[in-house]
Amino acid sequence: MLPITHYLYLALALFGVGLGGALLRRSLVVALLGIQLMLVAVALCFCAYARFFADPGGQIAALLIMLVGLCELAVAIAVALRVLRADSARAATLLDDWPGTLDVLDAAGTPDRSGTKGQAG
Amino acid sequence: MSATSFSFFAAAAVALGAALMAMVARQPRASLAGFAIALAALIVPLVQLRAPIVAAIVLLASALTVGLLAGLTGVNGRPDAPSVARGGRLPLAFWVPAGLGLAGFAWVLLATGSRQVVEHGPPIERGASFGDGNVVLLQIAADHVVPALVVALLALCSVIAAVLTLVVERPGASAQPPLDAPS
Repeated sequence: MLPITHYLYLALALFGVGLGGALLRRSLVVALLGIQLMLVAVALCFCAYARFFADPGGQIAALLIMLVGLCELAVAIAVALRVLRADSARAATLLDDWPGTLDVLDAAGTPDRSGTKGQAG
Repeated sequence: MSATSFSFFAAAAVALGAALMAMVARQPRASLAGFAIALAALIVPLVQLRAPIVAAIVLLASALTVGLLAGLTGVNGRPDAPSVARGGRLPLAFWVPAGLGLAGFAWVLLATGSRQVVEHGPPIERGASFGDGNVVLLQIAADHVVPALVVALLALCSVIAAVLTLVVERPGASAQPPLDAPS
């Protein structure tokens, strides 16, 4: 078995990457992926300690964490699909990133339903 | 370098690189591809830690996530055009935490390679019950009933909330104002 620190550093790096993506990106997709990445990193940490102490309790905690992540994902996907059904152009903007296309659409008054992006200015 | 070490470092490098690509890529499909690769690579350390049931759940979650989000992004119906406004410079509020994150990532890589004191867990003989899915599930039923019930109730509530979100229509939903419009 490799030292436990290897797994902990890997989990730390993954958690940092997921946290950065969830905080710094405006895209709904990337935010969801970042949160899932953080949850997987925490589960990896629990599994490493479970192996270190030879106690399956850590694996049980990792299982519960992943199930909670699935619950969060289900609600988030439902909200996204609801927005998608209400206004496909606005839902498309939820998948975009950085300087707010929502602001551009609002400034234009009506959302662009042709699938192309609104142009600022 | 043993096969275990090589497989771990290879999987870790692939997972971290793919996760970085998933977070940095500005196209949803590229993010999804990176996320799928990262989760697939994480199966290796989980199996090394003798947690195959957790690895299976992670694989299931990744498949569900990628499937749903791929369907969601496919609604766009347009090619992977860059969705970022061109010509704009990212603010300092982006570069400061991003630089700190990259520095931390480099420190993690260096610290992983220069670790001098290693801590191993106790050896586990082949055929031991640790990591067996049946043992884990039996222990959940025996010793962790309350947390399992809480998670089950949370899952039930989230499923009900998701279904209600999709099914229930508000009056006048066809003339919904924008989400961020002042009421």
